[in-house]
Amino acid sequence: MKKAVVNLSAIGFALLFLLPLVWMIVVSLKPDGVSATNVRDWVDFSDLTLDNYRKIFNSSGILKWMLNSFLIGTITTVISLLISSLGAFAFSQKRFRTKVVLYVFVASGLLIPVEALLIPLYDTVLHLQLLDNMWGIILPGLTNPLGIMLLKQFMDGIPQNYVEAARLDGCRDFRLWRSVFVPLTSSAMVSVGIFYFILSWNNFIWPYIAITSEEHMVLAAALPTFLSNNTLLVNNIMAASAIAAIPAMAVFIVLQKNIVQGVAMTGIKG
Amino acid sequence: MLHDSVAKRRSLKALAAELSAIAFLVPFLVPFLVFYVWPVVKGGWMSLHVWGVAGKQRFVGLDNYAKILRDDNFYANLWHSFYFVLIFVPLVIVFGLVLALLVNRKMPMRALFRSVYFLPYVLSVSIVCFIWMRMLDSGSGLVNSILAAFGLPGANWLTDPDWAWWSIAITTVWWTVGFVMVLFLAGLQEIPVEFYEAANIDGANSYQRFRHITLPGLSGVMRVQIFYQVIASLKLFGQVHIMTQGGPGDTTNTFVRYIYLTGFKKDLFGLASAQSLLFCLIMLIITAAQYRFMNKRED
Amino acid sequence: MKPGKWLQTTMVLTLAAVMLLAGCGSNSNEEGSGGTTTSAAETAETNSGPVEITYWNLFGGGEGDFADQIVKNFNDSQSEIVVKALRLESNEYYAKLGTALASGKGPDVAIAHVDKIAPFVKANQLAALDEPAAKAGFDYADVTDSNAQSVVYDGKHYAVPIDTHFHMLYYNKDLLDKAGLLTADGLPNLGDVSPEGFKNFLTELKNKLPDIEPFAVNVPYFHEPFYNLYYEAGGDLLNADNTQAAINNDKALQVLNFYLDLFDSKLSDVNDKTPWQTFHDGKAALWFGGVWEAGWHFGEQNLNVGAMPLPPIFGSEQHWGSSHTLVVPAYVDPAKQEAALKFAKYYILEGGKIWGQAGHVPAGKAVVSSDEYKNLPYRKYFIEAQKTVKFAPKTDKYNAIDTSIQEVLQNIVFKKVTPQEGLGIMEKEINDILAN
Repeated sequence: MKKAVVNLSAIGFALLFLLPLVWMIVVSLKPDGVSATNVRDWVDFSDLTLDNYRKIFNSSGILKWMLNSFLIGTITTVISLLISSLGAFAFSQKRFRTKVVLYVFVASGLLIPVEALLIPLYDTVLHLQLLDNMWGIILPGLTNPLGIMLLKQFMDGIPQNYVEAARLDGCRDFRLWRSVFVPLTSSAMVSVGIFYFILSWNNFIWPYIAITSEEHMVLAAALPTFLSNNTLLVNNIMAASAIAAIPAMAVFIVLQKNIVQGVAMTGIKG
Repeated sequence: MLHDSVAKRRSLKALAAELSAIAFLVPFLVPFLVFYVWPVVKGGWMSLHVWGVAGKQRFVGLDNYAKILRDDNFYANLWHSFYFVLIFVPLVIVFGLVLALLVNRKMPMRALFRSVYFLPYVLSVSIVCFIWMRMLDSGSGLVNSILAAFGLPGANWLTDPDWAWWSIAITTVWWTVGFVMVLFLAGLQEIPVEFYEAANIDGANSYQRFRHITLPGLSGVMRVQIFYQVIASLKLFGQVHIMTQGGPGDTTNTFVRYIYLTGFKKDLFGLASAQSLLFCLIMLIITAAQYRFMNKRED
Repeated sequence: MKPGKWLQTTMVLTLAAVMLLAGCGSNSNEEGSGGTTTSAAETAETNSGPVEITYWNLFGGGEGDFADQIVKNFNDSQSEIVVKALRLESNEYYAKLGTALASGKGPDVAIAHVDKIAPFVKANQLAALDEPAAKAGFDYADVTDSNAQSVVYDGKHYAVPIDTHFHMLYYNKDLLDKAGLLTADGLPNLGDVSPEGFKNFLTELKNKLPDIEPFAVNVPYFHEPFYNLYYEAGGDLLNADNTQAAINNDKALQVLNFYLDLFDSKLSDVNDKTPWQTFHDGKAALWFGGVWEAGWHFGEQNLNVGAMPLPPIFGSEQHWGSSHTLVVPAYVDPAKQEAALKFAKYYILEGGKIWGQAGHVPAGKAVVSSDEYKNLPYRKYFIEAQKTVKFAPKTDKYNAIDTSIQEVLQNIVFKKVTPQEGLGIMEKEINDILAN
């Protein structure tokens, strides 16, 4: 009985979550001129068309933008995971006097909103000649400390007997990190990786300002051109949004199995 | 003499240990210093000037700061940001945990449910806001239409001061709870299965299992989640900018939006930088308080 | 699964390495050539191939398609210049343009609203265009006088206006007809054109058609409907030499009270966040809509709509307007400045024909007086209304002033401050900004 209630609520939530997205997809398949807000028009599925998608794909470099976004997203994610894991290892497992100060310093990276930093960051990137360059987007994206903080928590949770066993085997520092901590935090790393990828994928304001040529444009910064200043062609906006959402969703679906990977702790003798 | 050289060797060893630990942090610290800390310092420099579209205009020392502290809007907008934290963070943490627990059980198609709850997170803020603005529209929005179908009165979700914040909160929960859920899921995976097995043998019911195994097991992840959500919601900008434009009036005008308008719509970059630094200071105080509170609980 | 995880990691790292190298390769090419500006300048000097100029605009959606068409037509019509357009529709466009102008790394020609260029002119970031115009054979006499005047600073032209845009009174003919308020000519039977008279008209509409919003008002961008009626009343934002606020006065108060009364009487819906859509969906009878909405409304099959100049409810026909202009950054070399002006010349003389279809009133005299243009729906009213447009005061602090006004207006509309208090706040804030 309780199980049925729980399952029903799961389904209920799922429907609530999906409703806005289903609305978005249906609207994206509607032809120009059909009102998106009129419910009667909306449920009339006879006029669904792929025209909006066709129009967007045929006009200019959307494929190039998607590739740029994907490239930048992947590289940012991989490097972030690497440097975050290394840093988290130090905070979690090593003793050093400047630990607390450095941790606070690193955590302070969460504090200042990006909007406040746009002008000074532009100046910095300009002087490093990284404007209109993929690295001008990737490198500033590596400054988010959430990865270090999360991975540190997960590393703290690894039972000491594991670590001791490895140390007794002669594992030190880098090898310890690579052979013990990285595998044992794999679920967390996948979660953190998804976070960084999506952050990078949807990052709009910085790439919008820093990229000045169409070849280097990223999807999030280029898509607004399909929007209109005052006339709202809702179907086009929704089609563009769907296009932007699908790759990010695909990345999640592929990686999500790894989140519940779990660490098999059974059978370890203390 | 022997004493001295032993001490020297020990301090050298300590130094070496210190450096080898820091070596693990260097890969993070380098881009962090160049692309975050340095711009922040530059921002600090800008905050001491009147800085416009043309660049540096003149040095005004701490005048910008004095101006801000005398401005009523500063306190109002700060309070708005706090208010959102108070209503949003408990919502998203609790709901995220609930979803994680739901999805962590053995149930049919749980990967599907996991994906559905996470799905909104992949959308960019402007899309999320656009969808919800339409749904919450007073006249033709889906929400009011559905309510009307049940004979219930609709509401002006985005233009009524009583509802505006809740609309923002619900939208944000829908958007970001998937990520909270995923992190809790990862945390749940770390709790050793045999703890639960032992508890079952001892005859514990599900509430007791939750309270004595799950919750403590998640405490580390929970701490970071709350910490992060507090900071992230203090920085709320996108939703209030796009959905309510800080309105009705300035009901939902948050501090970051205030900074954004000052800098990018009023061309007062020096003033905006000063606002950012003040904000950073306030956040530092809050997070320090949070940290102390959390750690005390742990003991 | 641990070995599998390692396999995945290795694969991803290898993939990343490959992409990294690919990225580095293409990027170093970019850096090597030092950006398009230098290489094209070299091209111009050695005269081997067309001059390439980059063009930033903020047009999106349907408007953007027209803008693209004009660029394409220009490129096809001659072979000395190639314009590469970058569409950057966004609320952040001016942040981007501003950083580009300040850093010297940006376009060769760009769109800017006429009320945004004053700070750039003051900062010497825009090129004075009289010389390049002369070289390109472009004459400012071809531009509507009011537009040409709007871009003059210190006796020099700093931009080429391409249009004027403002609001018209759009009216739903079917709804007005049903309410018996349409004249034989198909115009709204407004009767007494005064604040009371207009309100009576709306009240009658509401009585006849209770389910329809009589008058949609642009609440999200309330400064526009406010400016429209405030300028009609003869109001100004600033005094004659742009040193003091001139907004805290009876005229402004009357206009504000007028609108608040309409909201209170439910003749307009203060909670409507998309009033243009409400009108477009046939749920509102009257709407002060932008000229840029013309194509959208007129093109809607289910909508029988007309347009006329804003009725002079508050006395005069002056109303708010802005205009898009083409500007050339100061860092652009002379050869490209000339090319940019040739493009501007094309926009004025030829491109305007297409641009007019987007709803804006083109700034080229020839286009506006052409039959082709005049035959677009209701266009004669657009031309008439353009003549009484009032642009923003030419102060480099306009952005800050306008933003402040917008913020306070929102508080007034949503009853967080009274109109009197609000106007007092506006006055104080504007004076602070000007004194800075």
